[in-house]
Amino acid sequence: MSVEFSEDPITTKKRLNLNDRRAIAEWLLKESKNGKLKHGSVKEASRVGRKRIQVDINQFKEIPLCRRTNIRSLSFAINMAKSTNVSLFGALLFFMDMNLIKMKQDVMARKEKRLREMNKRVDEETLTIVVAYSQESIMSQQNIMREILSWLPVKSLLRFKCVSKSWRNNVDMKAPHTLKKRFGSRFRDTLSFVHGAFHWIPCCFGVASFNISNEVCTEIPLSEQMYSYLSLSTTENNHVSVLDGMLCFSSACKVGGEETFMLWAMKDYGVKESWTQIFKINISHIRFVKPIYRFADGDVLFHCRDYMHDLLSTSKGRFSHPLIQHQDMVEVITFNESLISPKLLI
Amino acid sequence: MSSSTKFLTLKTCDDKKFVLDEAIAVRSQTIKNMVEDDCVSNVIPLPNVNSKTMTKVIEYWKKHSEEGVSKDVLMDFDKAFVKVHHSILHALILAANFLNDKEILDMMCQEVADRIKGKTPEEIRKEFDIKNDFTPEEEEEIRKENAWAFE
Repeated sequence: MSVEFSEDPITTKKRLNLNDRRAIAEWLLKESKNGKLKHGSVKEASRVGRKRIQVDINQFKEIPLCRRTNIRSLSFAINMAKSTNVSLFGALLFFMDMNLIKMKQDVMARKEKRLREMNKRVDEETLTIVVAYSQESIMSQQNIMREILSWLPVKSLLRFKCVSKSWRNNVDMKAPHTLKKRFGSRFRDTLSFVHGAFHWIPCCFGVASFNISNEVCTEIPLSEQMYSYLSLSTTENNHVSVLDGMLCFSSACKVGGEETFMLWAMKDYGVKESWTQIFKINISHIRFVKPIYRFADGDVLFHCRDYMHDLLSTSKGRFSHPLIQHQDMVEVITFNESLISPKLLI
Repeated sequence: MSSSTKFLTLKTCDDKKFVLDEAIAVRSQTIKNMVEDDCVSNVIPLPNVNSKTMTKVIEYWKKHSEEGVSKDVLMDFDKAFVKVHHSILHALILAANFLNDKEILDMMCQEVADRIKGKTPEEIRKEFDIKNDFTPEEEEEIRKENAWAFE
């Protein structure tokens, strides 16, 4: 016997109208044999004792996600007392907004387990559907959308703000996180200034730049070869520098067991394809290499740090005696004598 | 611990069955949870993954579970793997989300991002059939705010 719910599910028990009472009485009479009721039929009459309620599982799917945030709102949405049935409670847990649970997969696994324990009575097929549906909302469509957006360069992201209102909202939700991921610095390096913009290495791959004339942050992409080379490295020791007015990217990393220092220069500023490899030097026991200056003959001065010393070196060999021992902070800056006012450079 | 390989049977929504080594199938966090909770007595139903998509997913899983495959080969494989029609890409994202395989999901999301990043808002609206619900003034405002992004 299925039960239909009236307006207020919690108090139906007390407010049976005449018709309900008659229906129950008639049903009980029908069930009785020689004046005695069959075992369990009182319970089945469902207005007495614990209620057995059949729930259409699909019903939950219709409920908007925002109403699945807790058991109370969910049970209200399907018009049912929240304490109606223990197994139902388990199911209710499942149709709550899974976005919350997505953050904590272990919580979900626990809930799943709990549901299974609670739901021993539910036949296997129903259980399968329950599990399947709950899993379905591991990540809602909107979150997938945000996930995709997080892979976009900031420029595209901002451009897509005017696609529609929902895209704008998604971008606005995503932007602070994305911006931090893209522009937060990983190193305490000095900024390299060229072409009217400061450059540094952001938390993700690539080079970030801040243009001081229009105050805009952008990304300077690396070339495909550089990306694929850097993705193989096991250590990260990358720097941006300016040599000969060219933006340079250097990396001292271990690839295939070999410690190698690579230096690329962007010959045409802003053109991804113009990244050119300038140096490839095998190094050993070096923890830090940063290019400082490029001499007229093409040789480059490096600031290196091994486990003991800071030292200056060129691509041909050591340039000076060890500067300072025991890894004190050292910053090497080049100084060019010039009569041009710094203001004119901007 | 028994060393024998266990096989799982996965059933997609179009009633096709896939028999798969458990060690490979547990790349999906969803299936892993089920296996760990001991509720995979016979067939695992995947009600929102179709067989065509599942074939692709399994192809990826198998390749990435092979031993002695160099990084280069895998990278080439991945590159070829994502070069599919956008309807399949879409199905793969949903499947990876359902199966809770972060690796495939990330790769696919990145691919979609790569495909749309150079597009104009108009092209995006056309591609995804999105209605522009801004008034011309509102749109102008946003364009002005982010003028550099439209250069």
